[in-house]
Parts: sequence; structure tokens; C-alpha cells
Amino acid sequence: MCNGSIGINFTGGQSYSSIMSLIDEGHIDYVELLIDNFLHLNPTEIAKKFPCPVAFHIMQSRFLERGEEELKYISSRITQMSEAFQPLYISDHIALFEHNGTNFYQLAEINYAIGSIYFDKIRRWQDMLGHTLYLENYPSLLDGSYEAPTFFEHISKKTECNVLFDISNAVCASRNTGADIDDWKNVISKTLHYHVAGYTPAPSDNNILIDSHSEQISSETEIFIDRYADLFFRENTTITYERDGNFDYDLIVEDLNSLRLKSKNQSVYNEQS
Amino acid sequence: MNNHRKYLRDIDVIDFMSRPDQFSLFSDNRRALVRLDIAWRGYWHALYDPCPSLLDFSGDQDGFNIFRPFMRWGSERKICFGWPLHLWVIIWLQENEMLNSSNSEIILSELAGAAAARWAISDRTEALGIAIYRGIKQNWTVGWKCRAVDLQREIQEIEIGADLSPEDDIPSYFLIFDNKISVFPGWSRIL
Repeated sequence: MCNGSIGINFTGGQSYSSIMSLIDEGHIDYVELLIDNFLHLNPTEIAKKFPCPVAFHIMQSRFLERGEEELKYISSRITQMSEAFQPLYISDHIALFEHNGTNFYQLAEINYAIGSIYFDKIRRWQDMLGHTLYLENYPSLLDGSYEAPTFFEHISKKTECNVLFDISNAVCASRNTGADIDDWKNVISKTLHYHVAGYTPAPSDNNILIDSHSEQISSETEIFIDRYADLFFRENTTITYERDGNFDYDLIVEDLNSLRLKSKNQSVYNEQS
Repeated sequence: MNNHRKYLRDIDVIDFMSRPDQFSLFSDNRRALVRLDIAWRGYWHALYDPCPSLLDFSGDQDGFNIFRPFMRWGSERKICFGWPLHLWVIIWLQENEMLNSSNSEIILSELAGAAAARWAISDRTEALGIAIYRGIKQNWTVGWKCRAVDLQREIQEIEIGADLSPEDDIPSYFLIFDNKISVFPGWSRIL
């Protein structure tokens, strides 16, 4: 892996052939598996299907809410997968999947103001995985966005986990609430792993943005990437392009090429300076 | 950070995400209303996207004739709105005597298939499949997690050569821990 490796997310069989084409054509360096979709499968069999480095992303551990026994089972399977793959990183979501017994179909943002109560659960989950855990920032619609950068900095200090910094989530949160996106600079500089995707206006208000993974990367996100290109494309960093809707191969390649060009430009700049 | 500003976080609106009758409490905050609307639409899409026949059956373009009363009923019964969501819709339709011989087959099929599919993508236990009784005797809906990483989940309807319906004849399920149904462990109630 080199500086600013480019990858793509993989959630299930529907996109497998396209992902293989992206590998064969050299558009991506690695694949990020939504690993908990495949816990019931044999790790060796999965490994045979991916002739490239992989990273693990976890969607449904629900580690803030699940009981010990269920988490033990999930973590034991992820650990087996990890031994088979040696993933580039293991990342997860820190969010609310339910409240008072009612499940959400759109995750809710945790309350950063009482953030320290989550630290024990983060440590416990990371210990179970036996691997540094990278937690993803949330695409805020409300004012949690103002507290999120400080909370994620504290996470790293208090739990020794790190942050999977989702670039477009931060753009969404900033656009939605007015929070200063540059408040994330410390987080960006301390992690090696990033996500990026397209977003969509909310159905009831075009001024509010939803992290949809169904559009191309916005010009605003591109500008933000350019501003911190020296951080996003430094040694051993990864940027995973997420696409879950409107899976148009040519448009995806366009976005991946744009990321690749930024990575190359930064390498050239680094060599010259 | 502006310390004089009154912050409104997800946690402040979280009690109302499945309660549109309470949205007006936030009528002075546009973003809170959009946040609640997004949460509410999440349930709508979860319900109707895999069940176009149910949307047709609702009799209105936005499906609110079913969606609103069902969500209110579900909130009052404190159902979890997890993977069995569509099985609860069957129970609600039955309680309201909305199913008849001309519409029940396709609607029950879609609803049970949607529940099986939701289970297959969200379950994180070692189970490989789920069998669902949807109210049709001797015919079960069966959902399987993907059998390989490059394959998709499978939803089937299978004929059973015996009447193994649950005693109270309501939607029920059992989990399958093998690549095929080799035992019948008895039905579990949805929660």
C-alpha cells in the first residue's frame, strides 16, 4: 500500500462483479468489506474471492446497546476474519440504533455532551476485537455537529481507539448546522483512514443534506479534500469511496479517478518539496 | 463554538421520531422538523419499498391510510419496529379485518418476504436462515443469508407436507442453523 490508497466499500453480492472489474482495471487498491454482513461465512472462502488487500467496516455491532454475550459472538467471528485477512483497519459506527426499545431506520447521533459515559463501552468493544478500532463521525443534521470534533479527539485520548474520518459526513454536518468544518483538523491529522461519498438533499428541505452514498462526490467535498490534501494523502493513508445507490460504474470510475489524481498530485508535490 | 446559542441535538428529538402526532412541538425549528421527517420516512420506506402491493392496497398514493394508524398502533403496543416489522403489519391487518381471499395471498407473501429479507441482512447470530409462518397453512416463507460473499440473500416460499401451523395461527418464526431445514424446533413469537 502507498500514500493515499484508494478503496471502495463492498456490502453484498449485488456489486461483486463491478468491484472485481474495478480491481482488474486498477481503479482501486483495496476493498472495504462490510464485514458483519458476512459473519456466517467461512473466512477462507471469502478471502479467495478478494485478490487484494481488504479493510473491515462494521455496520450492525450496535456495541453501545447490545449485551455482552452477543458482542462476544460477533467479536469472535470478526477476530477469525481478521486473522484470515489482516485488514488494513477495523472501523465501526458509534450511533444510536434504537431508543427505549424502538428501532430506527435512520441512525441517531449520540449525545456528545455526556460522551464520557460511552468510553467504557468503546474500550470494551475494542478489547473484544483485539484490534485498534476506528469510529466514524456522524453526518449531523442537528447541533451535535458543534461538539463532535472535540468528542472524537477525546475518544482517541481516553480509549486509544481512533477515528474513521468521513469527509463527506463532515461536509454534510457543516452545511446542515453551520459548524466550522475546520474544527476537524486535529482529528484529520491523527488518523490514517478516511471515507468519502456523495450526499443528497433531504426530501422536505433542499438545504439539508443526507449522507446517501448515492451521488457523486460534491464540489464542496472536493474543495475540502484539496484543502487538506497533505493530510489525506500522506504515508499509509486510505480513502474508501462509499457507493450504495445509483451504482453507475462509469460515474464511480470518474470519482475514483478524481481521488487518484489528487493522490498523485500530492505525491508529486511532496517529492518536489 | 457559540456559547449563547440554544443547541438542539438528536437526543432532544429522539422520543418523537416515530410519533408524527408530536412533531408540532418543534414547529419553531425547521431543522428539527426535517430531522424528524427523515426518521419518519425511514419507517415508511422500510415498510413500503419491498411491498408495492401493500402500498396499492392502502388506497392512497402516500400509503398513509395504513402507515399512520399502523405506526400509532405499533407505538402504543411498544413493538420494536425491528426485522419483524412486516409481520406486525400482518397482525394489524388481521385485527382490522382488512384481508380477504382476493387480496391476502400477494400481500401476505410480500410482507413475509420483506420480514425474511430484513432478518437476513440484520441478524448477527450464527443462524443461517429463518422460516416464517405468515398465515397460510402448509406454506412457509424462508429467508437465507447469502451463501457466499458474491451471492445475495435468498427468499423462498416452500410447501410443507403437514399442517404445522402455530396454535394461535398468528405470524411466527423459527431460526435455521443449517443449510437446509432439517428439524422443526417449534414456532417462536415475534417481539
